Order: sequence, then structure tokens, then C-alpha cells
Amino acid sequence: MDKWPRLDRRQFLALVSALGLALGAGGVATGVLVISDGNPLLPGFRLDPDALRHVAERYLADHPVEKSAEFLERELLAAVAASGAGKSLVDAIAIAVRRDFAAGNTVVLDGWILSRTEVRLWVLQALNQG
Amino acid sequence: MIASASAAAGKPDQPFDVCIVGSGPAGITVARSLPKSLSIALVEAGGFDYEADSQKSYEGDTVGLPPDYLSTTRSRLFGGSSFCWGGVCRPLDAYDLERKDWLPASIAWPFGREELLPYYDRASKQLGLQSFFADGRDRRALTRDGAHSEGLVLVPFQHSDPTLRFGTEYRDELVRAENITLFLHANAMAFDSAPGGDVQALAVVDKARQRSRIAARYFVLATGGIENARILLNSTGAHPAGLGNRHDQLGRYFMSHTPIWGAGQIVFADTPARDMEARLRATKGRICLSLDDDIKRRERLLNLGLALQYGRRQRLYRGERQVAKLREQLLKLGIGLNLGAGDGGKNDFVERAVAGFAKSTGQGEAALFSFFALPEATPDPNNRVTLSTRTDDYGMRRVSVRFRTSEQEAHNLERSLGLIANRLGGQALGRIRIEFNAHDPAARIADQHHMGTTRMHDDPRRGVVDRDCIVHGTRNLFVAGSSVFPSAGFANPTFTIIALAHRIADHLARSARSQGGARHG
Repeated sequence: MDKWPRLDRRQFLALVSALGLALGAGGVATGVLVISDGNPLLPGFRLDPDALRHVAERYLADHPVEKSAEFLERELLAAVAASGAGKSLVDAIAIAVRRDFAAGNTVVLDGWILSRTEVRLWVLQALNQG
Repeated sequence: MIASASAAAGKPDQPFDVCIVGSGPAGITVARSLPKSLSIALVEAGGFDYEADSQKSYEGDTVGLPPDYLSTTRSRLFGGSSFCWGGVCRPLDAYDLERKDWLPASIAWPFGREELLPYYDRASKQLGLQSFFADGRDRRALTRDGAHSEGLVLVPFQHSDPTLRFGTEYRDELVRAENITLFLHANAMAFDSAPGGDVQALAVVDKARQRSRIAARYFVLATGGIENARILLNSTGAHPAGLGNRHDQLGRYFMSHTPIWGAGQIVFADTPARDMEARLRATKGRICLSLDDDIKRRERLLNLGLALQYGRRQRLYRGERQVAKLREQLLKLGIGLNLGAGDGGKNDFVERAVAGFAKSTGQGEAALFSFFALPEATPDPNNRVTLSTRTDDYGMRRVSVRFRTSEQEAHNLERSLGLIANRLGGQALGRIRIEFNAHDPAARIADQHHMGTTRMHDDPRRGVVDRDCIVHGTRNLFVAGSSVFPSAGFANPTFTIIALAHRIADHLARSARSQGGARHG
């Protein structure tokens, strides 16, 4: 049975937030991205607060309908649910990211070709930062 | 020996066995590979050194190319364009030699790559390279944690190191060779053909504008991808449209690579990055990331190499912010005064310390590589070499060259990059950043590789030379060089030019043997 649809918003945000905290703050951006290889959230990137804001601005300019934490949470939960049966949240997100690439469900930001799921995670983090 | 062209003119009844026109990598390779029992005339338009006056003969009219393109992308002297060669070597892929039925002007090479393998190995030996084919060195799958990735391959190049300058390396050998007569400052104008089609002599003009004819049993035209077409187009004795041009193929399908410098960046995850580094070290130079052939066939893609740039790799944990942070922490402890640029450039300690710091914060050794893109050049009948109405200082008609890239190539390039991005991300190998617009013509400028103008096909309606590189309608005129390439892949052409030159020499030697030799005396 799939475990993620049972997460409520508060739980989900707490987990995403915990993931971000677990990544630490020592990264160095190359452009806007910082790789987080060596972290369970393979192969995702983590961003510092400035980069998060930048990504959110760029993405939401092209996708204004997504400027809603509720919308993003719903989409992310659905993506995670589709790939998360029997997995940890971290694994489920990683699988969702890979599935995005396999399906060509990508977003171009500053030239980087990225998974829509990972970009939505950043945008959600940025919205939650205010 | 060195002789003046006029000396040969006095002996029309004593033809050379072979007359080689052009002393670049192709011409010199043929000359050195032929049996010593054959008398050879080696004809070079320039001298031993660069001469601006001679170089000017390359000038012509251009459409879609910079005005000085023709005179700056070739070298007109003994040794030819080996003097402007970067020494980058790579065989064509098997995929490159196939016909792409979705590409209108595409034709297959008349033979598969296995035909070229022994000649590629001879070229490797000549250039001091390792064989490309031993132990599967030709290409490797990209790996992560020991597992092969799907759809992506690493394609190594090798460097001729130091770059072999044919004119320097082989000058003494060729001048001393008893069977070789070297004609310098002999500008090839046209071939004289017999009514049956065979070539009888080469008309040349020397620096004093004196005209001569060099007679031979066999001829090898090896003057470069544009000049080969120019000389054949100017050879109107047998056919008004030019020798080998009965079906209006001569000069068409001009191809040039259009490398895109600063095309983007790839950040590789930990183990692929280390894999990449090791391979870059092993190849002492260039390695390209490419899609595997099955995907290219299935998706109808042109070949594309993303050349990862050694030396520009950056470990992410070596970022300035972290160095500064580390320095700050160490200074607080009263140590680390030797950190950074003030230590005379000895940054090993910094690297070790930063690496440890990075690892302690959970970062791996993922790495960022810049890359430049090498799209496959494609044939287009409208990209062509024709004759200008203008003439050079020797009275020979100059060339007019038209070259345009196509929207199909741009779309194809975008699609390939998207698939590479998806395979990198989909297998947790990394991410790619594209920093150019494939549809911007300014992003894709022709380089110095001139190919395709006398392309190889067994049917004279579709090519200028046959599978043995003999001009259709003749039995004794070979064309050496990249002008015979029906397709061009993304590899630098010189390595294949040299391999084909070895192959031509073998074929010519067999033909000469079967018909008996006749020494020039």
C-alpha cells in the first residue's frame, strides 16, 4: 500500500524541510545550483536562500498558476505517491525525479535542464521562506 | 630530389609512375607508403616556408562564411595543412558511415568501418598513437558505481603529441628519396585527359608564370577539400563542366564542422566524475560524451559529441566561499596563515583541508565540466564549391563557396541535447546546462574542416569518386583527402584522411604492379 497519500500537508512540509536542513548550509553555487551528491536525495541539488528565490521567480514567471503552496504540495504529493510505494520519502522523491527525466518532464532554468519535481520542491521551499 | 616543373616538361615521353598533387598529410602519406620502385612526382604549390603571395591563391568568394575563411583555414606550403592542424585524432564511428534515410542528401560510405580499421591502425602507428580498437578503447559506457549507464557513451580522442607537422618531419626523407621528385612552387591548374577519360598530365604554373605539364601513369589529387574540387572544375578538357562532373556532383555537399564553443556545463555525480577524470588522464586530452548508436538510429539523430574540457573541471567543494569559510575558521584558531594565493601557489594543503571539510559536511566529489559541442556535419547539395569569375595571380579561376547550416540540424541538435539531459538525470548521473541557442546561425560557424566536395559513391550519378577513390570516368586519377567523405560525423577529419591515404597507396601499388612499372628517367 502506498504510504505517501496519507501524509498531510504539515507532515509533508516537515519532511521536506528536514531534508533541506539535513543537507547543511556549506554548499557552493555554480550558477544557481549546488550538487548534493553524497546525500540521500540523489541526484538532486540544493540551493541557498538567494538561489531559491531566483529559481522561484524564474519558474513562476513562466508558470504563474503554480504560485500556490497548496498547488505545489498537491502536485508533489501526487508525484511522490506515484513513485513511492514501499519507499522512504527520500527514495520516492529521487524516483520521481528520475521518472521526470525519463518522461521528458523537464524545466529549463538558466540553461539547466531540470526535473519538474525538483524545481517544484525548490519553489515550494522558496514560498515557505516567504 | 627537388626539381623545377619545367624540367619535367621536357620529358613527356617518360612519365612518372605516380604524380601526387599536394604535399599535405594525404599527399605525403601516399608518397611515403608507395613502393620505392615507383617513380613519384610530388607537386606542391608553395615552398618550404609560408609565403603570403602563395597563400593568396586560396582566396575566393564566400556565402555564409567569413570573407577570409578560404585563405585562413589552409596552409599552402610543403607539409600543407598539417601546419594548421591541432593534432586531434579520432576515427569515424560506424554510425557515421551509414546512410540516414531521413536525411535527404545522405548516402552511405561504399564500405563499412571494418574496411578502415587496418588503415586507422596504420595511421595511429604513424602518429605515435595507441590503437583505437584494442581492448575496446574506441568507446566506453559511462558508469556509475560500477554499473554501466544506458544510452550514454564516452568517446575518447587522442592527440598527436607533439602534433606531427608533415613538412618538418618528412622533409629530409622525401628530398633524399631516390624515387621521389619534389616540385615546389608548382601550382596545379588542371588535368589533361585523353578522349577515353584517363588523365595524361597535370598542367602547372611556376612562380615565374611558366607553364609545364607533368606526365604520369597515375595521379593522386590531394590538395584539400576545396582545392580538390577547384582543380577538377578547372579541368574542362574532357568535359566542359569539369573532370568527374558529368552528373553535376562535383563541388556539391561541401561540409564543415560547426563546433559550439562554451556550449554549456555538465555537473557529474561522484563516481561518474571520477570515471571521467580517469579517462581524461588516460587519453591525455579530449573525451566526448555522446548518445549510443542504437538511440541515434532509433531517434533519427545526427551524431553529436560533447567535448568535456580537461583542466576546467572544478570540484564543487573548492568554491571560493568554502575556502574563505575555512580560512576564517582556521585563522580563529591561529593557524592557516599560509592558505590561499599568498602561499606561492602551493595549494595542496588548501585542497586537502577543503576536501576534508567538504566531506565532513556530507558533500561528495561531484564535479563540474565545461563542454563544447561538436555536432555532425551534414551534406547539402546547395552547400557547394563552384568557380568564381575571378582568377588568381596564376590565371586560375578562384572558387566560390556557399555554406549554410540548416534548421533540421538545429532541431536535431536540440533533440540530442534533450535526450542526453534526460539520460543524465534519469540515471542519477548528473545535470546539463545549455548555454547557446541551436537556432542562432551565429552560434554555429564553420571551422577549418573542408569535406564532401568529391564524395565517394559507386554510382557516378551520386558521387564523384568510386569506392577506391578513383574519379568516375577515369581509371588513373585518385582523390585523397576529406573531399571524398560522404558524411563527416563529428570527429576531426585528419585521422581519417591519413587512413584513407594509406588505403589509396595500397590500391595504387596493386594497380601499378599489375600493369608493370615504368621509371621516370
